[in-house]
Amino acid sequence: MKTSYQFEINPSVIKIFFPEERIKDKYKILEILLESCRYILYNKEVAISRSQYKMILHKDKMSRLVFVGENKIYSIAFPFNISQITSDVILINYKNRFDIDSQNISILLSLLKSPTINSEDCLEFIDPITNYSQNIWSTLRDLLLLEDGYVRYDNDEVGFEKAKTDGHEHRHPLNHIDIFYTNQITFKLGLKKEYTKNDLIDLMDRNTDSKYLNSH
Amino acid sequence: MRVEKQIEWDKRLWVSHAWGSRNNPNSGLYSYLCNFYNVNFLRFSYQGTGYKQIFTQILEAVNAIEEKDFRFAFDYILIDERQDFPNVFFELCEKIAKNKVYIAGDIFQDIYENTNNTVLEVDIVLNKCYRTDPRTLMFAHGVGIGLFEKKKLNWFSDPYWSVIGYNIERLENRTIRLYREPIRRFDDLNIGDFESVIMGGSTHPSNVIKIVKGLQDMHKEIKPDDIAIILLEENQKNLFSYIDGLSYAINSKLEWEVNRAYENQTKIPNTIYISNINNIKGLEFPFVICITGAIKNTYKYRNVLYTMLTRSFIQSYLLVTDEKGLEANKEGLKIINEYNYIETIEPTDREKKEIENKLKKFIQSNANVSFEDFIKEIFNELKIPIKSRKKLTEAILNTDFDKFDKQKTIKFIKTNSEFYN
Repeated sequence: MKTSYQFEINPSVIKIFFPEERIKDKYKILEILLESCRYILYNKEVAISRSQYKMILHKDKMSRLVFVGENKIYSIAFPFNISQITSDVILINYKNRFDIDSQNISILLSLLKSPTINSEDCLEFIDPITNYSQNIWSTLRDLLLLEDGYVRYDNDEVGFEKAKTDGHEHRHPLNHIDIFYTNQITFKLGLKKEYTKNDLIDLMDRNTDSKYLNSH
Repeated sequence: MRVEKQIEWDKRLWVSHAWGSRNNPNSGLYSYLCNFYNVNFLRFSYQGTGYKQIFTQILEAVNAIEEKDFRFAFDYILIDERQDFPNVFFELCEKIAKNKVYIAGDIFQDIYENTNNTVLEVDIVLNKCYRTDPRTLMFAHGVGIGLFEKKKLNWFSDPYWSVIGYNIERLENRTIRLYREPIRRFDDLNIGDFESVIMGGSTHPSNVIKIVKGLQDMHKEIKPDDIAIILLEENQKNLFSYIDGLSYAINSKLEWEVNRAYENQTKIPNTIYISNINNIKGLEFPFVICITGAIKNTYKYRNVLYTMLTRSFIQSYLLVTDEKGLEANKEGLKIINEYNYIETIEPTDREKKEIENKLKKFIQSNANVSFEDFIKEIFNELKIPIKSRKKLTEAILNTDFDKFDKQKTIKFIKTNSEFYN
């Protein structure tokens, strides 16, 4: 069974997968997840990517999407099933009961982006959901409760130089991994040298050996 | 100039929806009145609630108040979009406003439901449309009510034609020419140089890309948000796949970002606006590309087609997959472009009566019943088992006749019920 899919990210959609504003909530993560599914359904896979921006879906014991940018690589959970029917046709579903297709992606995105999701009145939140089949709610609920597994690798010269000038370079190592995205929760693990996408995938892959941290 | 007095929002001046939410009386007129006259608030999402019900409920409550206890809720009420409200709403407003009620409506909003002469009983009519090129408006009216086709879906009385801005010229053999005064919204744009509506051409994404590229060549300064692409079909599954395919073609071939308006429900700068028919109300664009499978013969569809074509203020494109019946409309468009008038054949008195009766039936059936209730009644009448109803309803929603066409719905159910068990 195929375990890895690779796509080049078209320049005019880079902003979707690498938003200008820092990712700070799960709505954004889910938006990226669903946009990725849509991208996978309609864009051709590439064996060797020359573009700096790419998306990799790794589906094995570990099920994750990896987004590769200029100085940044990040990864989130991929909670769906995927099957390649022909070289052109890929199908995605959730728990074999809900198709992740154009229509359902649009419905889920419109619910996630709707202001009613933040309404003080829970009935206002429910109202638009009731327009659709029951599977929409159970899928939306599971997505909202999803462990999104956000991990990011950064090669951040600007941040590092600034930290250095301020006298604490080890609070912002040049190469580092950020775990989680909420301000009070996120933390960095410094790396002695640059990481490639393969290093990051290898770090997260449960089929390969684990990495060890020195205890200081 | 110094501002002497700030507006006292929600104390002396309210600008709000008609409905609103229960917990905030200032969020809507109905919500405010429930609070003011102590009436139980009905939520918008409750099955079967509509303007007629909620405003009747308030009116009855107000009528029950003894004269000495009655208080006016407002001094003045200004209402927009009158076509969206039932008569009881205006009756209520007159009752609770101390001085005067002003009512404004849009005579260009629809070409079926509010086109009888009672709509004309108003004090002032503004019948010039400054948004749309008059040729686009003429074509939209023409294709909208089937003026270029043998069988018309609607016909207006002479006073109504005149109130929506047409001059009528009658020729031999019931031939009629309808003229509009030309209006120039942009002084620097010579509208005679190009056609305001372009019809035909494939609905394949590659043709849409070609059209946009053509626009880019002709208007060097054009930006993605100058263009809207509107899909006229109801929300069928393949509509969404079509849009996704088209969107990625736009991304890769034009390197423009797209805004799927049915997800974002707002305009986004520097993106091309792609929408179904539900997220376009009140918007206008320099260029509009309307895409549809076929020009259907239902009132709802034709009204949508009319409205969507008039969303442009420079140019509208209409791309149709099914060529059937296009020729007559193309011919009608050619005459508009060449001579600036609509040429059509006036229906005979008998045909007019037929048109009127059919439309009346449609409006009546559409008025107060939800589709669920409408279909339930038919299912009960035909004794269709509960378990097959869901599938049958889905199948009916995918047909091309009007949702509330009782005769056709019955025929469809009778013919197909054995296949849906």
